Amino acid sequence: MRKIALYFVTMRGSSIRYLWPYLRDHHDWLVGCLVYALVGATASAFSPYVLGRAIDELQRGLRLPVVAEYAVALLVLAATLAIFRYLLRMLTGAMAATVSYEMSQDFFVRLLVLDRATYAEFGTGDLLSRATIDFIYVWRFFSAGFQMMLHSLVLLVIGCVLMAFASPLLALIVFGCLMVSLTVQVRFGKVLENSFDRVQRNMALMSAFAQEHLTTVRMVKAYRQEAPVVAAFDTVLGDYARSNLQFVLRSGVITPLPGTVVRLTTAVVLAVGGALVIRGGLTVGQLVQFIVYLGLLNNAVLQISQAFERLQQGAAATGRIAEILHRGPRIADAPDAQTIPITGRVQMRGVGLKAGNRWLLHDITFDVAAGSTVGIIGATGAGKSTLLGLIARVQDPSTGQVLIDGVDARKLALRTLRGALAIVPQESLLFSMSLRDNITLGLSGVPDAQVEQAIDAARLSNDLPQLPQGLATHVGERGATLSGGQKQRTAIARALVRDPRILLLDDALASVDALTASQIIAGLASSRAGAGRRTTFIVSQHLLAVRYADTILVLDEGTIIEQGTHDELLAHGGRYAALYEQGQRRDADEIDERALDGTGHTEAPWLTTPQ
Amino acid sequence: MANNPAVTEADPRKGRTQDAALGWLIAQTIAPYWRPLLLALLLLVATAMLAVVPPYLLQQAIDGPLARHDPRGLVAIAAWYAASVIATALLQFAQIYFLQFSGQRALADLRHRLFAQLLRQSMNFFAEYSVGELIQRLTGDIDALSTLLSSSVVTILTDGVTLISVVVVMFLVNWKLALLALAVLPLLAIVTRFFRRRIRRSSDGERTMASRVSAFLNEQLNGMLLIQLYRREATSTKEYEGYNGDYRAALIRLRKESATFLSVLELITAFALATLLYWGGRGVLAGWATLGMLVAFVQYSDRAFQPVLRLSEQYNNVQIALASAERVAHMLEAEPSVPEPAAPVPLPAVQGAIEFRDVHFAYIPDEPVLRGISLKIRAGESVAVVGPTGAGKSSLAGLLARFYDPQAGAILIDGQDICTLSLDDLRHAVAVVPQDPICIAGTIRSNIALYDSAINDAAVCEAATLANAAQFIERLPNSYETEVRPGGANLSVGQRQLLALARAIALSPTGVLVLDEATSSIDTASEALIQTALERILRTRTSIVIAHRLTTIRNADRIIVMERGQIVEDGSHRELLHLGGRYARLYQHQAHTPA
Repeated sequence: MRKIALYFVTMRGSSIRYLWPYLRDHHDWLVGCLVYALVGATASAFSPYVLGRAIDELQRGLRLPVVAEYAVALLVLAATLAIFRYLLRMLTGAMAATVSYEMSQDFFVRLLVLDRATYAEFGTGDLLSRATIDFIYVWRFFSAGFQMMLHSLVLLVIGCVLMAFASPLLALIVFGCLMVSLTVQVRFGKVLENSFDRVQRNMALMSAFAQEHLTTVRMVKAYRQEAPVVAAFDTVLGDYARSNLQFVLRSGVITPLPGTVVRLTTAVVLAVGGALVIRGGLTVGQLVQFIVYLGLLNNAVLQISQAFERLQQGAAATGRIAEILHRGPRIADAPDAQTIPITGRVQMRGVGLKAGNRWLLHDITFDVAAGSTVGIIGATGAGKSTLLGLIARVQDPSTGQVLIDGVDARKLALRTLRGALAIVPQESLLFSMSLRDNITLGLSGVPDAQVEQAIDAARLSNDLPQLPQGLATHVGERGATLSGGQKQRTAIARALVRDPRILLLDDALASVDALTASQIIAGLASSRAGAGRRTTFIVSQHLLAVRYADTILVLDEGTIIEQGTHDELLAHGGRYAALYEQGQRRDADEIDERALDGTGHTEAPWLTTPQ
Repeated sequence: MANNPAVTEADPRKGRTQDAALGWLIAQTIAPYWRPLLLALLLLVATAMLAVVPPYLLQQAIDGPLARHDPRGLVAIAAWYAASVIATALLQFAQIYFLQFSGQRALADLRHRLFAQLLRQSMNFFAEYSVGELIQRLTGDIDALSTLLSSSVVTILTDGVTLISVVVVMFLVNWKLALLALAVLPLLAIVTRFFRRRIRRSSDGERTMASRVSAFLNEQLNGMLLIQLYRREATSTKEYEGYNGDYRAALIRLRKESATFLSVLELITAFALATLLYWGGRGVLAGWATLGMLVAFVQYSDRAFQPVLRLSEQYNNVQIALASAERVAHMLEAEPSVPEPAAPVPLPAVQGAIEFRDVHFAYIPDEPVLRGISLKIRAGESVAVVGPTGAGKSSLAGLLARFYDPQAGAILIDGQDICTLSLDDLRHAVAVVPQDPICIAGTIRSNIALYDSAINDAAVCEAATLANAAQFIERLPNSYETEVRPGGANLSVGQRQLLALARAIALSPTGVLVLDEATSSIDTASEALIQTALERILRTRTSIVIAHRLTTIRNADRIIVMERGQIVEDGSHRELLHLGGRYARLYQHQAHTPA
């Protein structure tokens, strides 16, 4: 009780205050809740009193119509309770749903403007759990918790006052019992909670063990490890079973305790109250009233402690939600953001990017004229994707400048910058909507001819007849119904349909077969509107994909170690030349399986010039 | 391995109805614990029956000592009251103890049995069921059974016995009052049933909406970069408004159903109380009832109503648990499609001669993968298999290790049909290294020796050295004790392949090696290590390599070219070149490619 009171006093510091903006305009709701709770709980508190009075009257041998009056009074009280509690439940429900609706809408809008770094910091799974589970806690607190707390507090106060009037001594006994019951719940509730956490942890371990060994079952069977694996499973299973048994046994002792305390107190009330009745200090009706109160008020205490738990959970959840809601986007328009037509010149001047105390990129300088094709190669982790991200302003550099048409990218309106460029990421992600909507993502009213042109350029046209409804085919979640190559080509069509001035391909052709890839690359540089060539950046693992680029950047550990055309780099005899030779040797050793297939091409298509 | 004979013996349950199969499963699971469970049951009945005592004592107090002004009688009754409360608590704990102690063990037995049964299944079982589904059987479904045991069954029995005892005692004490108090019981039952259904429907609706919101958010979060770069924010916000609004409506609908139900319940119980007070009051005045009875009946009716409310709640839980039990029973009945021979022929030291005799095989009927494969491999010979994707190369490996059985034909090892060998002997004689080898969470050491305690540190090192894996392992921070993350996430594909090779050598030191060579995703350094290791291993034992490198082919004694499930060319490098077929074309084409 003291803890709960303390909590309310210190509410100002609690995360629950973040809910206030959503309630500010709804004073009427809060007043409504209070009124409904007062009326409903008062009716509930007076029922045992009426019952006790009726019993006393009966003992005195009253006339029948008076009995009827008491019966009617009980019904009226019950009806009042039923109606007002219904109103309270509905109002808190509507309030909870509205607050969590509005807050969740704000949350989603915030997710839409947050930058990559924030996503990386929290992780998608964490953000998803905040956006779903935490809102359930907010709802639970407002709907059930708030309602129970209001009703039960009012009931407790009025009940105690009524009892104190009837017999201060018995009231004290009842009150003492309630305190013991509450203490038991709070104290042992923590024990149970810890015990349950252990069960959950062991369950997770057991499940992970089973998951791993069922996933690798082929190896388990290949090496005859079934029996030892089952034995190892028995160890984790044993841990789980032991902790679970401990939990259920503890729960078996603790859960019925408050009830037992109340029933034992009933025996005390019966003895003490009975003695008072015999001495004439109390009526039988009042004694019955006390016994009924014991149950009723204990229920109220139980509800308050549950509501308190929900308040804590709700506050913690609100805190987690608020943490995201109050994040400022790191990538946003500058106050003096410019909107200029973009032709496609891309420069970097001494660009560096720091993550923690590690430089992902440093001292990157290049100048690419509008309309050129740039190849970027380097080992995994060399910083290729990060470099593309800087051009698209997925992140801002820590040092130096990224310039688009001579203007610092940070000074360009995001709308302008992102409207002029298109990026095809490494993992081609499709949304569960029609293929056409996937391609025209973010655009509206795109003419069919434009979509078809993009599909042609991405070499996707030949796949359409295979799909049940062509462009209207609904793509399964994460593009499950398409092959890897088809997904990548859809992602390329998505970029091309926007006719971007700057096109960024992040290893976007890895799943596309070599012949098709070379055809796509050949068509990339020319823009649809015929307004000259577009600036294209191609990141690839495969040297042949960048061979015909105007400039090739060789990245190593975040810095450009070589820069030039294919011929220049070969002549230079550095890293590029070594990689090229190694790749050639390996390609030669690899069996070209299509050559074994009676119908296949025997020519290595990468070797044919795409221009 | 399956420690329960009932599972492996010839199926005695054929023709049984599903409900009976369920009963059989439950009976089988709890049978070893029948004594403590029976004791728990008796304790439960006793506890439930004690529920009638407190109101009865209250009645005695009001009508007796309180009316007669007898303080000593009052103390005695209060003492009995306290005693009955303590007895109930103790009996209840004893009941929980016996029930849970044996019940949780029975469930652990069931989990053990299910897991062992899953590992016993053949590979096509794992193609049919996703791992997620199997985990669900093992966790969620058995948990549902646990809930059934510890909560539903207890509640149903306790409430059932309580309801019956209370009703009986009420009628014994005063049948007129009993009729009055229980008059609303049918109404209560009907109303509860009506609302439970509506609430369940609304709650299903709420859950559907919640999962739609969650699925939408999941997709949006995963595609957030694209949404931002392609400026789809406005459309996404509008879509979310739709989902979020539907969810809000579903929440409010559910709220309305439950709020109405709770209020109606309060009205009904108040109506019952008022009726009892009025008619019972008449009875007190008329002398056919006492004041104590009236007070006791107020409490009795509460004790009769609660079980009715709770019982209706249990119906749904029991349905859920039975559905889970059915799924578990179904899993326990599954027989592996690749059966262990009844009387396996012992296989002495393996020589490694292999023969495929007109083998036909399909994973899915009418989609043949192998069509009449006949092939003899001498002991110690190394064979390279080449062919386009889908030719059936990997299926050869799967059949040889009996991950699958062919539909027609036979496979022999050292002249012995592999179907007559125990799976243990066979898989000791044949080691398969897949294309993208897997790792388990644990150390490098445990990834080589797996759970085989007979393989000591020296043997692990030796295998790693032979497989050329020792170099990279010894450079790791903790050498052989370095932790491997689940799926081998902290190792490169090449390193995993080296590790798999070491594993094959450690666990099958003399057997036939079947290796599915990795395609181009391997780093150049590991690639060279694998090649030299292979060269060494191929000389020592029979081996079949599904080859993707010319170097590998050059190291093999013999080359087999497959196409669409058939062997189209078979011979040494020289023979096949001379033949002038597919292989010759490939070789010539690739040899002319600038190196």
